[in-house]
Amino acid sequence: METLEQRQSTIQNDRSQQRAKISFPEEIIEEILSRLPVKSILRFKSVCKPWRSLISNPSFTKLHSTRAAVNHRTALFISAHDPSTRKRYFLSAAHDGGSLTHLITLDNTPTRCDITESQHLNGLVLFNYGDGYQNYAFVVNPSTHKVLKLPNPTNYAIGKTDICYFFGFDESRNEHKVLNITTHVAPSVKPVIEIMIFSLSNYSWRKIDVEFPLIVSQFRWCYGLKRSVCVNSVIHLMLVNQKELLAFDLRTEKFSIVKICSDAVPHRIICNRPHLIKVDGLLGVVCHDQMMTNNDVYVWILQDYENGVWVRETITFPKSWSVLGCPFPLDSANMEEIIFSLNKESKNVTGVLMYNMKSGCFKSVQLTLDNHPFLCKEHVQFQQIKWYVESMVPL
Amino acid sequence: MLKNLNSKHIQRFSYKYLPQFPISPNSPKLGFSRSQIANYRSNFPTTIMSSSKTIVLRSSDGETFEVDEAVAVESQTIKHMIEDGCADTSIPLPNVTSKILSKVIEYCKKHVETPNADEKVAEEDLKSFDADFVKVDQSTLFDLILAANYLNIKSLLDLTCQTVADMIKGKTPEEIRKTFNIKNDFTPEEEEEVRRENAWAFE
Repeated sequence: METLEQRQSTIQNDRSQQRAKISFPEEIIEEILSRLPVKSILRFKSVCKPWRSLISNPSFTKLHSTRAAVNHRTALFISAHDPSTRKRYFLSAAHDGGSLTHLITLDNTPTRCDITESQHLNGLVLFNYGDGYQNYAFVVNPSTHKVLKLPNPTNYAIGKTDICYFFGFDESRNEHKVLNITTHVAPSVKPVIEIMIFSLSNYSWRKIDVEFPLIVSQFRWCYGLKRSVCVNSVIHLMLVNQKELLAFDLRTEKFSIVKICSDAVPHRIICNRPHLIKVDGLLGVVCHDQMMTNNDVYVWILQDYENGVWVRETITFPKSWSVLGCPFPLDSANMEEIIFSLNKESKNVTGVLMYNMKSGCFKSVQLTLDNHPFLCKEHVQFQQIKWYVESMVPL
Repeated sequence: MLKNLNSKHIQRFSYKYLPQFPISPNSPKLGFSRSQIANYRSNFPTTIMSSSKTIVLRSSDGETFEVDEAVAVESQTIKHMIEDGCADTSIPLPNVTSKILSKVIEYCKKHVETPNADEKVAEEDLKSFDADFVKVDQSTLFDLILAANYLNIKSLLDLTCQTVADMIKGKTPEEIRKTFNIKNDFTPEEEEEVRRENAWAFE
């Protein structure tokens, strides 16, 4: 006859045997963790030391990013600005709309001549803004809510300077890089171009000595809002003649020129505003004529990089372009959608127009500003919107 | 079966049982030596045998399961064992109990039977099978993960790991420790510091 203690100890032994069975090898823990959203993973860093070192490992970051891209763990990054409080906000929202989540607030940002630009690559967003005299750049990871302010690349200035930042991803070294091109223009001196590269792995600027293929005679040699697109480790930006792109290869650190298809940029240069965007991993130029009589927008996609083959896609807006709030394309998502600029529909709601290239349909996604304690709904202006993939890249 | 036949039988039966046997001009019409057949067998194992070759799997608690080879080779581990010639009588699987092995076999059977998800109906059917398959208690689910890992069945590992990921998504670190039987090796100060680094994730 079993005594009570004997029976209890048998039960306890069984239970502890059962518990002892459930211990996974590290590769299985990695498999499971790589399928989680970033918020959960960051929380689980405090489970135990082995988990923390597993999560902090760069190979885990890579595995997680690959899984996130495949499983469409993506969201929208939005930048907003409140001129009354001089604060800048980074927000995020789910891909199909909903309420905006606050990520980061930047204080005391200049309000004059506010031009902003942003680029997303592999989970990180480069955000820069300038007031005509100073230009500031930030690298943001919207998934981990972290931001890195880039140090000033150049300490001295000869005359007037124009500082441009461009985002790139070097596939050969698997790291993000920021290209800085500073143009110094002083009277009776030839303009001087300075080129520097910032790599996230060592958090510092490195000056490079490379031949610049343009003859810079004026201050603005780069077209428009200095938007760049990085495809295959090569950063592209449009030149002021609107017929060519300046290309910088991050692997070889050399410049070259890429010609745009001559049909892509029509003759009416005054009204035309070509934009560079990345569509389905390829370089694209979007032309929309601001005085257009029809509702069509053309997207010229560089399908064959080597042979310079451009293919045209037509997007037809359902209503007149001005009725829709004059949307211009800002980014692409999930390899088949194009995201247009934000349109404030009411105090609480901002609309984003999205176009699906496969189905040829538009949809309007609503973003709502629920009760954010610091965002003033009347004054806040939304500027940039970018689609991003979840990633754990540390900043 | 052919091992037990002598050359006389082979002479008589070869044209019946080996219809696609290539006949070279020099070989006799009906007579094939045992070594020729053995040689042919090693080069074309599937054409010799009819497609229903079965493999016997033995679980850790001694139970045996006979499965079609096509089902068994969903496991890369078993596939390599067969290729390496270790599958003579039965394949021992000392890390898998009979309860789990029968579930794994059920999974592999369904995935082999379903044609490759070209039709919408077949795809939906497989999805709902997978969804029901993982509706088991946590201990069984964890055992399935270990079995899928040991047997190297990628689709089962993906399914079970994804299920566990969805299960633990919203948990707190303490709940995670309970689920996976992990000891907290942080000091209270260390844990507080790790929490502070990403405080927003705990809201």
